[in-house]
Amino acid sequence: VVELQRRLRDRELSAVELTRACLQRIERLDGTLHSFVRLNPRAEQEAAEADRRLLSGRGGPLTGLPVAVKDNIHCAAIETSCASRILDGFVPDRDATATARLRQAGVVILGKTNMDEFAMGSSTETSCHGATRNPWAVDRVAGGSSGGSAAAVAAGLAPLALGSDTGGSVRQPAAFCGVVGLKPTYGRVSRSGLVAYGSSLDQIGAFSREVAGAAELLARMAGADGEDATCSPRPTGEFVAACDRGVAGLRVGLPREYFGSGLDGAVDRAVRAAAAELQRQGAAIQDVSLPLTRYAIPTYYLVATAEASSNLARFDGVRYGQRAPSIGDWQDLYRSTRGRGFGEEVWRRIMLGTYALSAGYYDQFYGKAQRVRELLRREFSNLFAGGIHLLLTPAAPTGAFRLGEKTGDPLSMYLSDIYTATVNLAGLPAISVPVGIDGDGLPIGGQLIAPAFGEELLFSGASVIERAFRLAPPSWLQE
Amino acid sequence: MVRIDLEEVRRMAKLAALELEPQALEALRTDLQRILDYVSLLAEVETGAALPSEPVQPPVPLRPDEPRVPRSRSEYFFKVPRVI
Repeated sequence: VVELQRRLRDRELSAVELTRACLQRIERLDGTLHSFVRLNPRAEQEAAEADRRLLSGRGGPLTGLPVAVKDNIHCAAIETSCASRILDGFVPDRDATATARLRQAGVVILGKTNMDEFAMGSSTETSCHGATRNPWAVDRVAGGSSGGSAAAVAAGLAPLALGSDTGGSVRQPAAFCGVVGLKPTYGRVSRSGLVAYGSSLDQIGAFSREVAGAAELLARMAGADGEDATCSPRPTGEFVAACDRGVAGLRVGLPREYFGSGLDGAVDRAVRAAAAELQRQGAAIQDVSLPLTRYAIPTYYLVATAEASSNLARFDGVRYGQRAPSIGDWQDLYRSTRGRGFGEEVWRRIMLGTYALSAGYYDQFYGKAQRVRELLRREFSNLFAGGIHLLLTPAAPTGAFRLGEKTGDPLSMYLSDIYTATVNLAGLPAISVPVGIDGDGLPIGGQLIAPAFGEELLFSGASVIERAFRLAPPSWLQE
Repeated sequence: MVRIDLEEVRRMAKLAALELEPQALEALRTDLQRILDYVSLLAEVETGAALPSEPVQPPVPLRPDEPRVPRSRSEYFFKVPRVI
């Protein structure tokens, strides 16, 4: 990204040439990878507009750079499907706040990327459009739910991409595909125009091959928005400058519960090697403990599905997308539209959420999960209040698994979010950054977690790791 | 441990407004039972007086209450199916 920025600025490369190169690469490679579900028919016109801005000196750091957008974030006049049949044919009439701000900065929207249906999944296999394949090994998943965005950036189809992260949906696919994936603090980026899944957890995030690219995207998207009351009015920060600050004097904690059973040996070694690198660059490394970690996944699946069951009530066949032919009354119309329009994983989560919220079970499940969530949040805030600046953990317990390996077992799929979901429950920012390659030749991701609104620390730490562990792209994708 | 039977699954499907085939309901019963067994792990946690806090700390900004130009009927209205 940094190199592309320089070439655009020096007019060695025009935005139109860059966009065409991306589109040609998509044409050549995406039949195999299936990372895009729809291209923006106006991409070249947007690039031409960016070139005019650059020529007249009105360009900014992102002007002319192509961005791929996850298919649950609205881009005006381009269909939003959320990879669900129920939204087939739905075209939003406005941009999400995040995409609107990036357009103002002059980016070119390349197209919409594949995802798990309504972001419910960890492998992009629940998409109604079919699974995305991992560029490092095409018989492996790209991760999820933002698997299309991660694969597109990994394969060089787009230099930058947007995703959404409710329980790890940016960080886990970034780890599986060997790219950088940022999940900002809850409240840092407006969720207006992001189709809601778990409203107290959802946050729009960024993918790039380099930490600086994620910092540039966040710098443009962050900040208060009257369209989202949960979006914080706090000042945003010097995200790009923070990439060069180093880690001297920072205290980095390794939570021991994140290095226990279930963690692949190669992942463990790679993340510890990243810790050693942070130490060489002047950070102090310290073992810490987050004893409630084992309760994070049960808490997450109760909170997220309860919110989903309520958020997805709006898809009723009347207001958006598909409507089942119905011969009965309006209730029949709702039921048959929803039964046909949603896929199995969405049924499962709506049912679990409905159960957790229903009379007689509310206190035992949803109420209990909310109280445990508060304790999890306090565990993190106590560590940060005790002088820890960053936590370093694995982003996922293993490298990318095989297509079909976990689709028959929802619970084992849920457990692939074990290191990421806690961060959403606590509302914290985190970044996934490549730290090595495992024995199967698959990328490994490390995760840095910072205090709320501490994204600058993430960029400083991740940049140090990136300089030591930069991955060469998989050989079949090199130019 | 909670046990979830087919009748309960049907009741949830009705509450969630999902029309599902009998085999789908049976498969959901099996999955929900496994998931509920797993999430019941939370019962071990002594939560005491912990109360859930809001995800965003106040002050929560509100947008200024200014009138905006409404969109025209033809642009914004849509047809619903006849239900009565």
